[in-house]
Amino acid sequence: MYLKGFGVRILLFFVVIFNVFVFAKKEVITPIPQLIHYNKPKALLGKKLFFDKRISADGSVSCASCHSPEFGGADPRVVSVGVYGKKGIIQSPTVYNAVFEFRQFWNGRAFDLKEQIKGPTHNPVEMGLNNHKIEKLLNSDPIYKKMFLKIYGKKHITYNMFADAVAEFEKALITPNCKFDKYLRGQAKLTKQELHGYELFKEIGCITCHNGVDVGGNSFQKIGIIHPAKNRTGDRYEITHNLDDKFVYKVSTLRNIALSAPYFHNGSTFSLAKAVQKMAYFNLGLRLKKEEVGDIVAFLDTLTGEKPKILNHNTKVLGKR
Amino acid sequence: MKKYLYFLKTFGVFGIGLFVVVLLVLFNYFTRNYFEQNNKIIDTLNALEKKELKLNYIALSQNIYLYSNFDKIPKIERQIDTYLYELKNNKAFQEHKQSYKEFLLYSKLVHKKIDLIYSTETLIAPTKNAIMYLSFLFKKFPILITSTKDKRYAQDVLNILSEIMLSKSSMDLSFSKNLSKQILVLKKIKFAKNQQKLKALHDILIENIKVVNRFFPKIILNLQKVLHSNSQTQLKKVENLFLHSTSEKLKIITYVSILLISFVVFSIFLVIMLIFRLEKDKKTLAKMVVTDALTSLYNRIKLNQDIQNKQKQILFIVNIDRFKYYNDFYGIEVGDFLLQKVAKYIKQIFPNELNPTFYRIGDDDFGILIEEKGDIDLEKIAQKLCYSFGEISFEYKDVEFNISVSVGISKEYPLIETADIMLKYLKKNHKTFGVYNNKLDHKQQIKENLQKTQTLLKAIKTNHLIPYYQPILSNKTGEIVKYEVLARITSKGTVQSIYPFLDIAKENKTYKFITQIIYEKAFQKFENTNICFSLNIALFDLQDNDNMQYLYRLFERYNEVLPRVTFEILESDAVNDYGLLKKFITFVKSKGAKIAIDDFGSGYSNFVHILNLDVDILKIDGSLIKELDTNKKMQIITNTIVQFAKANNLEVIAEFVHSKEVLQKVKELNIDCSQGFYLGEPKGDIVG
Repeated sequence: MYLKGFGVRILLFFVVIFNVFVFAKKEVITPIPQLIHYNKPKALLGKKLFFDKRISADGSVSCASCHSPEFGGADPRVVSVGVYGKKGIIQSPTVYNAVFEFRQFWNGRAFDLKEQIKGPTHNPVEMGLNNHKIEKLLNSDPIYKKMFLKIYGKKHITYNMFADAVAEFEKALITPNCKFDKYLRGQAKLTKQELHGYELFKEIGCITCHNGVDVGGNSFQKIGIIHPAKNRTGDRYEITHNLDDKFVYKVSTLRNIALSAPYFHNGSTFSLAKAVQKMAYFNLGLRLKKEEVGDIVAFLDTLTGEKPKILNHNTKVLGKR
Repeated sequence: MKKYLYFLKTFGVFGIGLFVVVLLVLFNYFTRNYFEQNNKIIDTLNALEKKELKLNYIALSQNIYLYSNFDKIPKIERQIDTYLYELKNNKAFQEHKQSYKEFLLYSKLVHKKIDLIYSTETLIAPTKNAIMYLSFLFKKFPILITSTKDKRYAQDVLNILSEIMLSKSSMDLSFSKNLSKQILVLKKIKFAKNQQKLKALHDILIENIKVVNRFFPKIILNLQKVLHSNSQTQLKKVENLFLHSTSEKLKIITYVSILLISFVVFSIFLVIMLIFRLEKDKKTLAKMVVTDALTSLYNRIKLNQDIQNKQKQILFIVNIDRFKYYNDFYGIEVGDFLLQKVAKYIKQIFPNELNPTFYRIGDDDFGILIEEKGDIDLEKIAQKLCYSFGEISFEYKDVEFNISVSVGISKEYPLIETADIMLKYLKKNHKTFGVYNNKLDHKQQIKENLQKTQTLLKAIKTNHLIPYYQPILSNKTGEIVKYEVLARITSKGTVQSIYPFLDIAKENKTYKFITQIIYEKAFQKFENTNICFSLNIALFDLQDNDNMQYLYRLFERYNEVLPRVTFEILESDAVNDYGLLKKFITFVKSKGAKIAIDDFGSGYSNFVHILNLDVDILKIDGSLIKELDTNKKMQIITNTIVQFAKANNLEVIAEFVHSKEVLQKVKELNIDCSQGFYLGEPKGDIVG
C-alpha cells in the first residue's frame, strides 16, 4: 500500500494533531436552554403527584423521597430506601435535566421520562404499586379527580395520565444559567483554576464521554477501561446480555454534580475529588495530582445551575460534597 | 304517458347533471386529499432518508474528531422516532399494505442502526482516550528515556504508536495488523528497579494499546455496518413500493379525470348541438307560422303582416272557379292536389320581374302581392293569368282537370277586403278579372245587410214581427171578401215592410220563423171569426222539412179555419218546383183551402202548369194593373188572362189598384176582385 511511505505517515500524524487542536475549539458542551416548553398546569399537577407520599404501597415514599430537590434532584443515601424500609440496589440518579438524557436509568432501559416512571412506581422495593393501584389511589381523591378532569377532560384517571403529568413536571426540572453556561455564552469569565480544570477535563479525555448539554447522559460507556472495575450491579448487560455490555452504564450527567453525592452507580464515594480520581484511574489509567483534581473539581463546581423555577424558592438547596 | 316521459327526461338530465357535479366535487376533494397525503408520506420518507445520511455523517465524524458531542445522535433519534410514529399511524400509508409492511421492517432496522451507533460510541470513547493518551506519550518519552537500551525500547514503542496513528487516521487495519504480537513482545520487557516510573508508564501504555487493539477493529466493523446498513436500502424499497402502488392509484385518478373531462367536453358539444337545433327549430316554427302547409306558400298571417309593413302595394286574389264542386265531387284528395298544382302554376306564370310574393289566403283563394311602381298593366297581367289556366290541364290518376280562375285586383287599402269585393263582383257579373275601384264598393251594402240582419233578428226575438191585413174587395158588390195577410216589422213606432228583409232572411235561415210567426198570429186572429184571408207561401218554405212539419201541426190545430184560407203562391215558384208544390196543394185543398197564384203575368206564365196545379184564383201582377187605365198593351194582356181564367172557371183578382180610373178599368175587364191602396191600405187590424 502506497500509504506506507514515511512521508505519508508523518502527514497523517499531523492530521491527527490538527484535529485535536483545531476542531477542539468548537465546544462539545452546550449550555442548558433558559426556557423549555412545557404545559404548566399539567406540570403543576405533576409536581403535586411528585411530592405525594400517598402514591406508594405504605404511604411513606414519594418520588421526591429519592429525587430530592435539596440534593440536586438525587438521593444523598448510598442506596434509596423504599416502602416498608426496603433498601434499593442502586444509587438514585438526579432527576434534574433528566429530560436531556437520551435514555433513563443507569442502564438506559427506559426510553424517556414517561417510561421511566413505571420503574420506581412498580418496583416493590421502591414504591411498590402497579397501574391498577395507582389509578385506584388517584380516583379516590376528589381533588386529583378535579385536577385531572380539568387538564385531561376525563373523569376517570388512568395510569397513563398520571405518568404523563409527572413526566411533564420532570420536563420542567432544568437548571439553567450555571457559571459555566454563562462562560460558554460569553457572559462570565472562569477563574484561572476553573479554566485550567476545564482544559484538563478536555486534555485527559473526560470530555470524550462527558459532553453535550448534560455533560454526560448521552452515551453508554464502560467503567474500568484501563483498570477493571469490580461492581457491575444493574449494568447494561443485564438487559442486553451482550458480553460487550458488561460494566457498561449510561454516562452520568455532571450537571449539579457538586450537589448530588454520593457518586457512581453504587454510591461508592461521597467526595467529588475522590470520584474524579477514581474515574481517571479506572478509565484513563491516570493517577491525577492533588492540584489537578482540585482544578477539575473547581471546574465541576461551575456546573451547578439555578434551581428549577417550578420548585418554589422557599425550599433551600443544600450542597454537600 | 308522454307527459310522464317528458318529466322523466327532464329529471333524468337534471339528475345526471347533479350527479356529475357531485362527482366532480368529490373527485376534486379526494384527489386533493390523496395528493396531500401522498406528498406528506413522501416528504416524511425523504426526511427519513436525510436523517439516515446525517446519522452516517455523525457516526463517521465521531470517529474522526477527538471531541464530539454525543447529543447529536439522540437528537436525530428523536426526530426519526417522530417521523416513524407519524408514518406508523398514517391511515393513508397503511393502505399501501406492501409498502407499509416493509416500512415496519425498516423501522426495526433503523433502530438497530441507531443502537449500533450507540454501541460504536461506547467503543469510540475509550479508543479516542487511549489514542490521546498515546499521543501524550510522545511528550513524555524524551524525558524518561536515558540509556541506549531504553532508546531501543522507545524506538519500538514509537513504531507501534506510529502504526496505530496511521491505522486510526486511515481507518485501515493493515497498518496495525501485528498489534497483538507487539503487545506480547512489550509485555515481556523487564525493567530494572530504578526504572519504576518507566515501568508504570509501560503498564498503562500496554493497557491503552490493548484498548486500541481490542476496540478499533470493532469500530471499523461497526462503522462499515452503519454506513452500509440495510436500513437505507430498506427505506429505498419502502419508497419504491409506495411510489409503485401510488402510481397504480394514480392510474385510476387519471382514468376518472379523463372520463370526467370527456364528459364535460361531450356536454359542451351536446349543448352547442342543442343550441343549433333550437335555433333551427325556431326558424322552422317561425316559418311554419307564416306558411301554408299544403302549398308551402305564405299564409294569410304573413299577407296581413306584409300588407301592413308597406304602402303602395297591389294585391291579386286568384280564385279557382267552382272549386267546391271539385272538392265535393272528387274528394278532398283531388282538391288538395289541385290546390298544390295551382299554387305551383301561379308561381310559374306570374311575371317574375315584379318581385311577387305568393300566398294562400283561403280555401281556394291565392294572393299575389307586388309593389306598385311605374305603369303596370294590371288588366293585362290578369288576362294572362286567366288565359294561362285555359291552356293547361292538371292530370290526376288519368283524369284531366281543366281549371278556370277569376282574378280580383286591388290597389286600395285594405287590400284583402277590396280585392275580395272585386272578386265577388266579378262572380256576380260573370267576368273573370277586374281591378277594384271605389264605385263598386259593396261596403255600404254589407253594412246595410248587417243592420237588416240585426233588425230582423231583434224583431223576431222581441215579438216585433206582426201581421198586417189588406182588404180584397168584390168588384160587383164593393164589399170586402177577404184579407191578405202581410208581414211587417215595427220598431220605435215605425212600421216597415218585410220585403227588403226577405233575401237576408233566406240567407240567415230566419225565413221560416217569419212564416211561422205570421201564420200563427193570423190563425189566432181569424180563428173565432168567419172572415176569409189569404197567406203567402214560398217554395223556400216548402223546401224546409222542419218548417213544413211545423206548419202541418199548425194546420191540424186550426183545422176548422183552413177552409177560409187561400194560399198565395208566386208564379215563379210554381214554375220552379212543380212536384213539391203539387204535393202541398193537394194536401191543403183536401182540407178545404184555396190556392191562388200570386203575381201572375210577371214571369213566363205557363198556363199548362197552372191548370195542372188545380189552382182556384189568379192574382194579376201589379205591373200589369198599374198602367191599365192608359196602356193598351196591358189591357190586352190582362184581358187575355181574364178570358183564360173565366174559361177555366178561375177567380181573378187585380192587385195594385191605386186609383179610381184603374178600378173603373178593372171592373170593365170583368175582374172579380180588387186589392190596392185606393181600396184599402194594409193595417194592423181589421176595420170594417
